[in-house]
Amino acid sequence: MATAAKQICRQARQVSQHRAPAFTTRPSQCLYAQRPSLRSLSTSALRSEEQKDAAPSADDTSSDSAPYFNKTFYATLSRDDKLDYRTVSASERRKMERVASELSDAFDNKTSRISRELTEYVNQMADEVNEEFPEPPQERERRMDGFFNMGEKEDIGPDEEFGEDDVSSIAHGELEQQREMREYARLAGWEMPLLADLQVPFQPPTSATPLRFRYTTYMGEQHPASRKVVVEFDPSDLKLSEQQTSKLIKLLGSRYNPSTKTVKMSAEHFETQAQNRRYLGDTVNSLIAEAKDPKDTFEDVPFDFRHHKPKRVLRFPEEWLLTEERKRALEEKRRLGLEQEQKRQLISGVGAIEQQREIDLAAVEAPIAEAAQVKIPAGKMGKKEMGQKGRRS
Amino acid sequence: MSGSICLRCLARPVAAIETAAPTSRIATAAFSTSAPLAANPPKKKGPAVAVKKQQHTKSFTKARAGGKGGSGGGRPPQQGERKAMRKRIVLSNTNALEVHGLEDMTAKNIVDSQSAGKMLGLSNEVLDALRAAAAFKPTQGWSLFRRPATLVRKETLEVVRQLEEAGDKKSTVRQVIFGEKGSGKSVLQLQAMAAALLKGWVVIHIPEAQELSIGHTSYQPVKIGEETVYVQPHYIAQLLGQIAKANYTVLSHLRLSKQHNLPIPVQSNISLVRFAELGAGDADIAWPFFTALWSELTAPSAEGEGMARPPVLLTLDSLNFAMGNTTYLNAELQNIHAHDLALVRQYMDILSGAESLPNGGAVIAATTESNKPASPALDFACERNEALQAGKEVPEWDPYVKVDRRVLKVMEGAEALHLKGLSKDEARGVMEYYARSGMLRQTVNDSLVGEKWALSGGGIIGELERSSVVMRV
Repeated sequence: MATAAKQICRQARQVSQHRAPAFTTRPSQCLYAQRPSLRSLSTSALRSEEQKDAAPSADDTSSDSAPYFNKTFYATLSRDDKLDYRTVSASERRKMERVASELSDAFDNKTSRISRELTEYVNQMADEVNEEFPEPPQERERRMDGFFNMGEKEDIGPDEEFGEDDVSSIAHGELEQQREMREYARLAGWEMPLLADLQVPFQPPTSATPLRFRYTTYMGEQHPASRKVVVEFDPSDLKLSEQQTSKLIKLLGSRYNPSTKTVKMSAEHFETQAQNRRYLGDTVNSLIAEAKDPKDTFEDVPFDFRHHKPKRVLRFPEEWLLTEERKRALEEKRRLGLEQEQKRQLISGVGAIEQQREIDLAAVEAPIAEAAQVKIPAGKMGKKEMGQKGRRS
Repeated sequence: MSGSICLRCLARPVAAIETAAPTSRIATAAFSTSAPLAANPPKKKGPAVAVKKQQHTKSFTKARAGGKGGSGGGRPPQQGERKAMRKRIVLSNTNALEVHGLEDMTAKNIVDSQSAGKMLGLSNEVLDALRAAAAFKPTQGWSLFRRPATLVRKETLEVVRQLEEAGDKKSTVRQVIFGEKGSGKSVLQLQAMAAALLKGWVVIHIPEAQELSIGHTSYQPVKIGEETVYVQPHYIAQLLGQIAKANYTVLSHLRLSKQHNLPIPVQSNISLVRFAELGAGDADIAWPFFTALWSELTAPSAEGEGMARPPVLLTLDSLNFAMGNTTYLNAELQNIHAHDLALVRQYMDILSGAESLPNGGAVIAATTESNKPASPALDFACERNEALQAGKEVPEWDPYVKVDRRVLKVMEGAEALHLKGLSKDEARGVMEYYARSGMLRQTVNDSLVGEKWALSGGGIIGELERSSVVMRV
């Protein structure tokens, strides 16, 4: 919108500064006619642009006089004006010349009133437009890539001012999502059922095709792994003798998985899938040929499965399950143990300590008690203590 | 010292270097970087254990109290003092109750199936002999109880029965005990030694094969035929001393029967105790004395005073260290294999069955599970032998892993005894002993036994002891 206004403004300026007078019988071209009539889905309101007639249109003049044709004047006219000039009468031709000379005088002479007024008016209009639609942000000069700003994002400058005429970008995103979903819903509704026509019943592989190839597609996208081909097979399916099979397994080395008993080989060093597949096929063929070669049977070489760590599957022991039967057996065992225990003498640490304490105490007390029980003759009672012994003797 | 050097030409006589015989044992180690004290035999432990303990504690408290700088200061422990503390064996706890009615182990009741699950004490004579042989270890819980006693478990009965049979039939039992950490391997070995001592056997015990293999004792090469073996003179001297002390009663009745080529003149009818003590006195003559003693002990019994030869029990603990490379280097700067050590080879010859004991006997080796060097061949051989004995599927050695063939060869034919946890009855027996000693306060009933048994990983006795006595709540 801003650009349209600018254009008008620019035209108006051109007109005002044009040396040659502009004649036109047709209305000025509406710029909006060239725009698409409607946006596909937009919430912003359409605004009708005021039509501005920047240049004053010249009035047609007419006179009924004798044939008159000013060749020099005619030469200065534009093509449309020339047509007008030829059709009108002589008096009108003169009038045209006069008006043209007057207009030319008025516009060319910068000091004339019309010219002054016109210039003033145009400038005023241009200022208004400038005010309404300011200049777009100037593209800044690109800075030189130096060491310190290497890889930095380019300065995008300040945001354009929001004109309150649109929904937010989040809402736009939601709408976009909605559109996308509808598109896929249409696909699912109309196109997917057609895929059923391409159905092929599954044919299990036969023993004639022991090799199982795997390809990867990235749906038409470029991907480094899209050329990769993987082949898997069981060496025992190759109809080899036992000794040949074990030789093949030894030759295969770490490509053999002893848990699943399968071989897995892959190739991706050629450009296309077909080449890689061919390479794998050739390799398998040469391996089989080597395995069948009786020159060296590899019987003195032990199998080497160091590359493979079998996964430990921990199983809950079934004998640990607390079934009803087992519960009953345990109950019975505990009951018997309790009965046994009631019969025997239980030993406890506290009891043992107590017992020992009694024994120790008895050992201390026994001589005292023994001494206490010895009878002392009555006559001598107390004499020693009283210190009578010496006195009496 | 200066006498051996010619001062005029500053040259020493060649002969003196080659036969340099240090007068004292401590003076020089033949080739060793460790301090001379470390190579010395551990301090002889007399019967007065408690007194020794007090002495040690005294010295430590003194050391702490004497520090002028307050806490953290003080005299640092003397050389070897820390190790002595670490290696201290305490066999008694005066705070524990005396267990009344605890029988002593005798030659009779140790084979009796009635003793299964019972605790049997060790009599003083056996205790002294075992102490002299360094059969007790500081990691075992002897210091928790009034006096040492061991549980007779079904493996004990079986081992003792085998010993008896070997003594009767003059055959050789070759056995390797292995099992989890704390499962009682060393104590089972100790019980076998106690039983052998009670039967009047000669017991030769290597308490730690680690001491032989980690390069802490001197070594010197000796040519035997084509082969070079390495003799550890100081260790052998110490071992001779232990043999003499542990088997004093037996060896004092035996006399020398053969003529030996010895570096010093020896009385022809000297008693074997005196003979061993002579060898123990000097590291330089220890090896010839040891070989002479060995040939005496493995000579067939003869008529006459002191000519009878009893069966011999050879025991070795921490077998893992004797089943791989040692840290000793040979002349090519390569690690010496443990089987190239003369003493270890002597054991391994009997364990592998290359040499037999004419008077009968046994070699019982126990593995260790703590701080052990990796010895995959030994682990495999134990597993294989166990499977063979049980008639199960024999595991195969991974053909892409390098194997120590010498180890496999030695282990061929040796009986592997896998020591597992105690049964619940045995656990009850030992827990009742804990309770009688006053060390376990709770009442020993089925639920307590079941709980402790389960907590100790199915009756691993070391864990059982730890959970019920050591870590008491």
